[in-house]
Amino acid sequence: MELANKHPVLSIRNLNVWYGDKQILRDLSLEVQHQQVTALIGPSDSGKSTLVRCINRLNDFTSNFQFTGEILFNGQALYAPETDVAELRRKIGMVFSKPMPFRRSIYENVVYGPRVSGIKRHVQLDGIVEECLRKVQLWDAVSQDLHASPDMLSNGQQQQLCIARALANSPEVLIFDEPCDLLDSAETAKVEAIFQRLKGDYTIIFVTHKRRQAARVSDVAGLLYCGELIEFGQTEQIFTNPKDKRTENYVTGRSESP
Amino acid sequence: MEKTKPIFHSIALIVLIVIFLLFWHFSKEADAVKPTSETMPTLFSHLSVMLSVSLLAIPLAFGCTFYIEEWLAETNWIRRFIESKVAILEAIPSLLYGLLVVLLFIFQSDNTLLVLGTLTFVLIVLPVVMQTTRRALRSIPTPMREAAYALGANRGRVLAEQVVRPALPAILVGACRGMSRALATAALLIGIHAWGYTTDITVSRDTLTKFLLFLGGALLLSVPFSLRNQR
Repeated sequence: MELANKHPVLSIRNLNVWYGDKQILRDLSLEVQHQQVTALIGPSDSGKSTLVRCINRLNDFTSNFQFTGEILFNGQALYAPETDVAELRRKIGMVFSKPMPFRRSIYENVVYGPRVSGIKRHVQLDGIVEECLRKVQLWDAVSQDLHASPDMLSNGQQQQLCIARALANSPEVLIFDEPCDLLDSAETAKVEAIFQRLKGDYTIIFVTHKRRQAARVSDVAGLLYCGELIEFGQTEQIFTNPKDKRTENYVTGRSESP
Repeated sequence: MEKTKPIFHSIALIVLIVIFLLFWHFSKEADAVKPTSETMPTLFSHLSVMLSVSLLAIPLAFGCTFYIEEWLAETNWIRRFIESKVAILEAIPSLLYGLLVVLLFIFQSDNTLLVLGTLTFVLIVLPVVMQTTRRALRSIPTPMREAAYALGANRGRVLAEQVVRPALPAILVGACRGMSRALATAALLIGIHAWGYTTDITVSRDTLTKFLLFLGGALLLSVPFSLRNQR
């Protein structure tokens, strides 16, 4: 762990982001350590999603996106011109708040990533499907009809499928953008249980506006408000002994906007 | 992502050249056909017009719409200009196109009716197909594309698998709608043509039967399309 601490997986330095004239992120710096769960909390519109979309380079498609600063992934600049964006997105998986299974079978959903990266052998793909669906605890529910449409799954199961789909690329970093936003409490508990299982194997960045969830799940937490990183540190410290008055107000629920 | 762009451009160029050559070939041959009062030759010349229209207008409309929707930014002025004009053109009655062509071309030039007819129909079909293709592409939610991008797919792959494949039924219906709009106009012309050239008021029974058969067929063909459009 000590060795890993010396080399952060992701380090963001002085990041400023604009959409058109509107500045979304202001001079933001943070480091994400190897195999830790990093939670980003904050009210909506505080720039959490924008930040994780920068890490995954999904903002490339937004025409008026501009930024200054630097994001390093394993020491390499993410926005360097020679970066292979597709390869990068395979290493940095992402799960969105709305489950978005593709309009094809459950099996084909999971093997989408491996197929894109050129794996064709059926034995290998079958193995990946079973492994990933077991990791998200969906295997028992769907092993009988892998070739059915994901429409028959519940919302929570669809989200589990989307997590499995991201895992199939064997990423280093997994980004969850409010993954439990549209799920009920039982489904949320299930997703959190999956987090606990994945914790040792992946570096997880986790965006949420549910404070208690962040406290339950994460090792490190950061509070964003209006594009500024107000406080960043160990989850325990943030939730029990915050340094900033605004953090204290927010995590105790005294105020909705820090 | 950036690598696919030149490939797309060159494919589009090749397709356009091929279509242009085909169109040229067809129009040269068909010009030899003299105007007649019979229904069948008229019908055939109309069908050949329709063929060249479909070869010219539909790929052009698809290509333009894909380029505008997927490559140009939403704030791009070319995109906004074309989108608004296409929306207006779609709503214009086909009769006005006919008048425009009569005014602009027929009074000015020699008797190259087939080329003019084709161009007119291209004008009629193009906005309809562009508009329906645009709606079909818009119906694919952005998060769906992003989900595929996030799994490491490149732009060409996302376009082919996440956008074109689910949108294809709607795109094809759009093409059929455009063509059927042109065909409906053409069917009327055949009728008027057949009646107009006979000096006698009574048309030969043969012509009338063929004409009615054709109309009946067109009506039958239109039934599945109208059913599909209502959904």
